[in-house]
Amino acid sequence: MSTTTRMVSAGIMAVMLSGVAAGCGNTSTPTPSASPKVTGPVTITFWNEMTGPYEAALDKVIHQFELQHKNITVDDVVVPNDATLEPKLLSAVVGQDPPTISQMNPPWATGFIETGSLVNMNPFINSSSGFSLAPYYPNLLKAGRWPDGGQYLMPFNMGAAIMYYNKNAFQQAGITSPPTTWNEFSKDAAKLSGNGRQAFAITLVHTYPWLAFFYQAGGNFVLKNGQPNPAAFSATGPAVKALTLWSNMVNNGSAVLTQGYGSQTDFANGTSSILIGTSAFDPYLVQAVANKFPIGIAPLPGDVTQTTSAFGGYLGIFSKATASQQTAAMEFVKYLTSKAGQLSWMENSQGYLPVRDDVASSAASFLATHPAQKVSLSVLPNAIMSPKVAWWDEFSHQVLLNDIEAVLLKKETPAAAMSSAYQQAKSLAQKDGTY
Amino acid sequence: MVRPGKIMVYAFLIIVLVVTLFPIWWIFSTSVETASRAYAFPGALWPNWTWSNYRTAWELAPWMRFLLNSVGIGLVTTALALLTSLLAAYGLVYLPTRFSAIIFTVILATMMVPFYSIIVPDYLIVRDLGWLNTYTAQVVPFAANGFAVFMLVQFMRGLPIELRDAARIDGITDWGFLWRIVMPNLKPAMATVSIYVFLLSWNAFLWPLIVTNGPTVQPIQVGLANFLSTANGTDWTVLSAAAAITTIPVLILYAFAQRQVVESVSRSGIKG
Repeated sequence: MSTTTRMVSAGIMAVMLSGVAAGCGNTSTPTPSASPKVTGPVTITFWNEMTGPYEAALDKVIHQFELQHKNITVDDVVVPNDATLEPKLLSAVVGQDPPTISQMNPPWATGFIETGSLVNMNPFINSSSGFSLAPYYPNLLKAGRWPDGGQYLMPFNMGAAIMYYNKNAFQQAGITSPPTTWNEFSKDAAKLSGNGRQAFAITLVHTYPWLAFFYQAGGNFVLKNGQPNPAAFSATGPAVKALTLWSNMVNNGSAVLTQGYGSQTDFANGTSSILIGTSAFDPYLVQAVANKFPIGIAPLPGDVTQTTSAFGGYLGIFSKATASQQTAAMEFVKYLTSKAGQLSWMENSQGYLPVRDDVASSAASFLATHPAQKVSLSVLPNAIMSPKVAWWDEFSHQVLLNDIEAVLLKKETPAAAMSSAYQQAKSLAQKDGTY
Repeated sequence: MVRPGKIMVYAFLIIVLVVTLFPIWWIFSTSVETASRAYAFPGALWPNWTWSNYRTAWELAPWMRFLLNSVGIGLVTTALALLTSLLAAYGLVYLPTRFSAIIFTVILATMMVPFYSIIVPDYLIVRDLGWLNTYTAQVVPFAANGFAVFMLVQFMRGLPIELRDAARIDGITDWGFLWRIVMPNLKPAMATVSIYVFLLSWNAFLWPLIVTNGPTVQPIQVGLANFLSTANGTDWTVLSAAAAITTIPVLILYAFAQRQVVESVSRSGIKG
């Protein structure tokens, strides 16, 4: 389903952008209404991917917002995942019938901005009823800001890659503290492996666990002009270095590639003892492990730099909405990303992190009992978001995931895989554009 | 005395039965298992009978609404597709014009156009008609089906042409001939077409997802996807309970219509 729907998305995006090329689109940069207040009753439609337990958590935050804004009703529309939200959103934009506001990944926004479909939030943020961007983590804000200076997206649901480990297994192997360098990481994993057990269970549902290692090796896939960075893909570059670390671990039996979230199953039943994921893994792991062993949580080991990858969704407002809806949507964004909204979101969602640095001080008791969020929050300010260029999503989901998998399955060498990935990245950048 | 050959046959059938039923048992046993035991390796064959998973799954989504939506959309789509296909096939076979061959070719050509390539134009039409977020948007685009017309044309061509001549001599109109002569003789083909269209409708995912915005009108496939999919992990016990809730009505339906389903699948060469 994922591959098909992504192909559909690419097709619809082409239709949308061809409309712009033909002069059919409104390419001016829309700004939200100057109206500072919502005067009458207004309903805004909010498309998001908060399924399952997150849907209930979001419902609570929305309810709190509606209590404080009696004139605004939020129509919450939940879509299963990225692979389905993207084609749904694209169809709606092409059909001139988008929601008022939607969760989205920054790479999708480029096409929407080009067609004038997305609102630049700066005028509202800077207005008298706006809000200060100072408390927001700059690295997260940056991914929602485009080269024209417009803040088109605001970060909403964030996670950062961290390491979960089995404390009992570490103790039995004589490892007293979690690894802090790649060298320690591979040595510890080797000590923890054997007898059919591979210590590091690799999750490849998304690229962010691997991207954390790529960033630690000093990697950056995108140049300032939005084109693929050849140095990142070179045979001596960071991508090959990170891939080589993982493939060596698979080859010597200290790591194993799992399908879907099989890594969580391996970790919970004790066949692996190291897992890399976001803090949103925590509720699933706590339930699955059920006190069979204590779960340790630590920042990822570092290499050239001590960083990690951030992963999550942003909020964008569509220009097709009425002025009143746009103002109401901005009020909603303001609330969702406010200190109170983010505190409620973090505590109720049991996994996502606040996007601003003033929340942790008010959540001391929560963080004391939720070490995954605590560790994730400690690394979030230095975490790196995925690039926002238009070609990134297809490259990340189709090319990079396949190439990493090919290397781990010994079908390709790291250098050959990255050489091929570079050619495909160039081709995608040519086809889809950059910013 | 039981012959050894018969014992071998029964032993083989029992093995096939166990292999076939095991995944269903696994889903069911996981659905009544505690989370930690569900992750255990090797897994336990006998569950812990934790029925609260069903309550959790039931409370997380309006499953009955999703099921009723799917059944309703499937039945209406099937009825309409059957009606349009019968009329189209009748016209092509019994009321030929010089354009019949071209029209039939065009109908066949619609089978070769990937659905994904017409999503945007279909979406624009549905939007302009004001059908977004309605049952109509999920039924009407599938109320005519090229494959169904093709199937019925082939079966109608198999009926003796003398029947038509005899009916005319007896003064039966086209409607009467279709209703009283053709349809009773086309029951197997109609059953095949019905099951094909119903399965197509039942399994539809992307289109309903794009044109609907909430559980009020969404079918079970979209509801289940919303439930299954999280960006961070899977709660296998509750997921299995949801899978069981949504599978049981289909299994009951299948038990009643088993013969027709098997025959239609073998006749058309299609699988659900």
